[in-house]
Amino acid sequence: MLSSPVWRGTPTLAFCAGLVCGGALTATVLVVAGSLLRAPLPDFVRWAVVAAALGAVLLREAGVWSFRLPENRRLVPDTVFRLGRHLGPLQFGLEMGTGARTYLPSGLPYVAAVAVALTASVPAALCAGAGFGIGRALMTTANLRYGADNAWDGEWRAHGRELGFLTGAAFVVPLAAIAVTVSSGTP
Amino acid sequence: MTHGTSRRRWHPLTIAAGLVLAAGGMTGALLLARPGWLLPGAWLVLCAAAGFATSGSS
Repeated sequence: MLSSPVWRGTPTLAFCAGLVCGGALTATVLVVAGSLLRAPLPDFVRWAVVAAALGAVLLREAGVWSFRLPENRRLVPDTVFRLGRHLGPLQFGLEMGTGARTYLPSGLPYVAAVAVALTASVPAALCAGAGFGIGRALMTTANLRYGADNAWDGEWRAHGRELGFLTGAAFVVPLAAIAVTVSSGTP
Repeated sequence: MTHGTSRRRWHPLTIAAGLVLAAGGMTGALLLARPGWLLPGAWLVLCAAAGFATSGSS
Protein backbone atom coordinates (compact mmCIF):
# COMPACT_ATOMS: atom_id res chain seq x y z
CA MET A 1 0.00 0.00 0.00
CA LEU A 2 2.93 2.35 0.71
CA SER A 3 4.00 2.14 -2.95
CA SER A 4 0.76 3.83 -4.02
CA PRO A 5 1.20 7.16 -5.84
CA VAL A 6 -0.97 8.73 -3.13
CA TRP A 7 2.12 8.75 -0.87
CA ARG A 8 3.62 11.87 -2.37
CA GLY A 9 3.27 15.52 -1.34
CA THR A 10 0.44 16.83 0.81
CA PRO A 11 -1.47 13.52 1.10
CA THR A 12 1.49 12.25 3.12
CA LEU A 13 1.01 15.15 5.54
CA ALA A 14 -2.69 14.31 5.81
CA PHE A 15 -1.76 10.71 6.57
CA CYS A 16 0.71 11.76 9.29
CA ALA A 17 -1.85 14.17 10.79
CA GLY A 18 -4.31 11.28 10.86
CA LEU A 19 -1.78 9.10 12.68
CA VAL A 20 -1.22 11.73 15.37
CA CYS A 21 -4.96 12.41 15.77
CA GLY A 22 -5.69 8.67 15.95
CA GLY A 23 -3.11 8.21 18.68
CA ALA A 24 -4.48 11.18 20.62
CA LEU A 25 -8.02 9.78 20.25
CA THR A 26 -7.05 6.40 21.71
CA ALA A 27 -5.12 8.08 24.53
CA THR A 28 -8.15 10.23 25.37
CA VAL A 29 -10.37 7.14 25.58
CA LEU A 30 -7.76 5.39 27.74
CA VAL A 31 -7.34 8.25 30.17
CA VAL A 32 -11.12 8.68 30.56
CA ALA A 33 -11.67 4.94 31.15
CA GLY A 34 -8.56 4.79 33.32
CA SER A 35 -9.76 7.62 35.55
CA LEU A 36 -12.52 5.27 36.73
CA LEU A 37 -10.15 2.34 37.25
CA ARG A 38 -7.44 4.28 39.03
CA ALA A 39 -9.64 6.06 41.57
CA PRO A 40 -9.61 3.30 44.23
CA LEU A 41 -5.98 2.27 43.64
CA PRO A 42 -3.00 3.77 45.48
CA ASP A 43 -0.07 5.02 43.39
CA PHE A 44 2.23 2.08 44.12
CA VAL A 45 -0.42 -0.45 43.04
CA ARG A 46 -0.96 1.35 39.74
CA TRP A 47 2.78 1.43 39.01
CA ALA A 48 3.05 -2.23 40.09
CA VAL A 49 0.42 -3.13 37.46
CA VAL A 50 2.39 -1.17 34.83
CA ALA A 51 5.61 -2.93 35.88
CA ALA A 52 3.91 -6.34 35.66
CA ALA A 53 2.59 -5.57 32.17
CA LEU A 54 6.04 -4.34 31.11
CA GLY A 55 7.75 -7.45 32.50
CA ALA A 56 5.33 -9.78 30.70
CA VAL A 57 5.72 -7.94 27.38
CA LEU A 58 9.53 -7.81 27.62
CA LEU A 59 9.59 -11.58 28.24
CA ARG A 60 7.33 -12.01 25.21
CA GLU A 61 9.52 -9.78 23.04
CA ALA A 62 12.59 -11.74 24.14
CA GLY A 63 10.90 -14.97 23.13
CA VAL A 64 10.97 -16.37 26.70
CA TRP A 65 7.20 -16.33 27.18
CA SER A 66 4.71 -16.87 24.38
CA PHE A 67 1.19 -15.49 24.59
CA ARG A 68 -1.16 -13.68 22.23
CA LEU A 69 -2.20 -10.11 22.70
CA PRO A 70 -5.53 -8.88 21.34
CA GLU A 71 -5.14 -7.20 17.96
CA ASN A 72 -7.26 -6.45 14.95
CA ARG A 73 -5.70 -8.84 12.42
CA ARG A 74 -6.56 -6.95 9.28
CA LEU A 75 -5.19 -4.26 7.02
CA VAL A 76 -6.95 -0.92 6.74
CA PRO A 77 -9.01 -1.45 3.55
CA ASP A 78 -8.07 0.31 0.29
CA THR A 79 -11.62 1.67 0.16
CA VAL A 80 -10.63 4.54 2.49
CA PHE A 81 -8.97 6.17 -0.53
CA ARG A 82 -12.38 6.66 -2.14
CA LEU A 83 -12.75 9.62 0.22
CA GLY A 84 -10.36 11.67 -1.89
CA ARG A 85 -6.74 12.69 -2.22
CA HIS A 86 -6.44 14.07 1.31
CA LEU A 87 -9.40 12.68 3.26
CA GLY A 88 -8.51 9.12 2.26
CA PRO A 89 -4.95 9.25 3.64
CA LEU A 90 -6.27 11.18 6.67
CA GLN A 91 -8.74 8.40 7.49
CA PHE A 92 -6.11 5.74 6.78
CA GLY A 93 -3.76 7.49 9.21
CA LEU A 94 -6.51 7.95 11.78
CA GLU A 95 -7.37 4.24 11.74
CA MET A 96 -3.72 3.19 11.85
CA GLY A 97 -2.95 5.77 14.56
CA THR A 98 -5.59 4.45 16.93
CA GLY A 99 -3.65 1.19 17.11
CA ALA A 100 -6.98 -0.65 17.27
CA ARG A 101 -7.88 -1.01 13.59
CA THR A 102 -4.95 -2.97 12.18
CA TYR A 103 -2.03 -5.24 13.07
CA LEU A 104 0.09 -4.34 16.12
CA PRO A 105 3.23 -6.49 15.97
CA SER A 106 4.92 -5.15 19.13
CA GLY A 107 3.78 -5.52 22.74
CA LEU A 108 5.10 -2.08 23.77
CA PRO A 109 1.91 -0.18 22.81
CA TYR A 110 -0.05 -2.43 25.20
CA VAL A 111 2.22 -1.42 28.07
CA ALA A 112 1.87 2.21 27.02
CA ALA A 113 -1.92 1.80 27.06
CA VAL A 114 -1.86 0.38 30.60
CA ALA A 115 0.50 3.12 31.76
CA VAL A 116 -1.59 5.89 30.20
CA ALA A 117 -4.83 4.48 31.61
CA LEU A 118 -3.49 4.09 35.14
CA THR A 119 -0.96 6.87 35.63
CA ALA A 120 -1.04 9.66 33.02
CA SER A 121 -2.49 13.14 33.40
CA VAL A 122 -4.61 14.48 30.51
CA PRO A 123 -1.76 16.52 28.92
CA ALA A 124 0.61 13.56 29.33
CA ALA A 125 -1.94 11.21 27.75
CA LEU A 126 -2.41 13.53 24.77
CA CYS A 127 1.37 13.71 24.29
CA ALA A 128 1.57 9.92 24.60
CA GLY A 129 -1.06 9.51 21.89
CA ALA A 130 0.63 12.04 19.64
CA GLY A 131 3.95 10.28 20.27
CA PHE A 132 2.49 6.95 19.18
CA GLY A 133 1.28 8.57 15.96
CA ILE A 134 4.68 10.20 15.42
CA GLY A 135 6.38 6.82 15.89
CA ARG A 136 4.15 5.25 13.26
CA ALA A 137 4.68 8.26 10.98
CA LEU A 138 8.45 7.82 11.37
CA MET A 139 8.04 4.24 10.23
CA THR A 140 6.06 5.06 7.10
CA THR A 141 8.15 8.14 6.22
CA ALA A 142 11.41 6.23 6.57
CA ASN A 143 9.97 3.30 4.60
CA LEU A 144 9.01 5.59 1.72
CA ARG A 145 12.26 7.53 1.66
CA TYR A 146 14.54 4.55 2.05
CA GLY A 147 13.72 3.18 -1.37
CA ALA A 148 11.41 0.96 -3.33
CA ASP A 149 10.94 -2.81 -3.37
CA ASN A 150 10.30 -3.16 0.36
CA ALA A 151 14.01 -2.70 1.07
CA TRP A 152 13.23 -0.98 4.38
CA ASP A 153 11.09 -3.90 5.55
CA GLY A 154 13.96 -6.20 4.62
CA GLU A 155 16.35 -4.13 6.76
CA TRP A 156 13.84 -4.28 9.63
CA ARG A 157 13.70 -8.06 9.40
CA ALA A 158 17.50 -8.33 9.12
CA HIS A 159 18.07 -6.21 12.25
CA GLY A 160 14.98 -7.23 14.20
CA ARG A 161 16.88 -8.17 17.35
CA GLU A 162 18.88 -4.92 17.55
CA LEU A 163 15.76 -2.88 16.75
CA GLY A 164 13.81 -4.66 19.47
CA PHE A 165 16.55 -3.81 21.96
CA LEU A 166 16.80 -0.15 20.88
CA THR A 167 13.06 0.52 20.82
CA GLY A 168 12.69 -1.33 24.13
CA ALA A 169 15.38 0.88 25.69
CA ALA A 170 13.80 4.06 24.26
CA PHE A 171 10.53 2.94 25.86
CA VAL A 172 11.63 1.58 29.24
CA VAL A 173 14.14 4.29 30.23
CA PRO A 174 11.75 7.29 30.02
CA LEU A 175 8.96 5.22 31.60
CA ALA A 176 11.21 4.48 34.57
CA ALA A 177 12.17 8.16 34.77
CA ILE A 178 8.49 9.15 34.80
CA ALA A 179 7.80 6.66 37.60
CA VAL A 180 10.72 7.99 39.66
CA THR A 181 9.78 11.63 39.03
CA VAL A 182 6.11 11.13 39.87
CA SER A 183 6.88 9.00 42.92
CA SER A 184 9.23 11.65 44.27
CA GLY A 185 6.36 14.13 44.27
CA THR A 186 7.31 16.37 41.37
CA PRO A 187 4.10 18.08 40.18
CA MET B 1 22.80 14.28 -0.88
CA THR B 2 23.87 10.93 -2.27
CA HIS B 3 21.57 7.94 -2.49
CA GLY B 4 23.71 6.10 0.09
CA THR B 5 23.51 8.97 2.58
CA SER B 6 19.75 9.14 2.18
CA ARG B 7 19.41 5.41 2.78
CA ARG B 8 21.57 5.58 5.91
CA ARG B 9 19.52 8.50 7.24
CA TRP B 10 16.24 6.60 6.87
CA HIS B 11 17.59 3.20 7.90
CA PRO B 12 15.51 1.67 10.75
CA LEU B 13 18.60 1.45 12.98
CA THR B 14 19.29 5.19 12.50
CA ILE B 15 15.73 6.07 13.51
CA ALA B 16 15.81 3.70 16.49
CA ALA B 17 19.15 5.16 17.62
CA GLY B 18 17.64 8.66 17.36
CA LEU B 19 14.78 7.56 19.59
CA VAL B 20 17.26 6.16 22.14
CA LEU B 21 19.14 9.48 22.12
CA ALA B 22 15.90 11.43 22.62
CA ALA B 23 14.88 9.08 25.43
CA GLY B 24 18.28 9.45 27.10
CA GLY B 25 18.19 13.25 26.87
CA MET B 26 14.66 13.42 28.23
CA THR B 27 15.48 11.01 31.06
CA GLY B 28 18.60 12.94 32.02
CA ALA B 29 16.70 16.21 32.11
CA LEU B 30 13.89 14.66 34.16
CA LEU B 31 16.14 13.01 36.72
CA LEU B 32 18.67 15.83 37.10
CA ALA B 33 16.48 18.93 37.02
CA ARG B 34 13.08 17.31 37.79
CA PRO B 35 10.96 19.89 35.98
CA GLY B 36 7.39 18.60 36.06
CA TRP B 37 6.61 20.26 32.71
CA LEU B 38 8.95 17.81 30.98
CA LEU B 39 6.79 14.82 31.93
CA PRO B 40 4.51 15.04 28.85
CA GLY B 41 7.64 15.17 26.67
CA ALA B 42 8.86 11.94 28.22
CA TRP B 43 5.48 10.35 27.48
CA LEU B 44 5.76 11.53 23.88
CA VAL B 45 9.21 9.98 23.42
CA LEU B 46 8.36 6.63 24.99
CA CYS B 47 5.17 6.30 22.96
CA ALA B 48 7.03 7.30 19.79
CA ALA B 49 9.29 4.33 20.51
CA ALA B 50 6.21 2.13 20.99
CA GLY B 51 4.72 3.37 17.72
CA PHE B 52 7.96 2.85 15.81
CA ALA B 53 8.29 -0.64 17.30
CA THR B 54 5.09 -1.62 15.47
CA SER B 55 6.89 -1.31 12.13
CA GLY B 56 6.37 -4.12 9.70
CA SER B 57 2.60 -3.82 9.80
CA SER B 58 2.44 -1.60 6.76
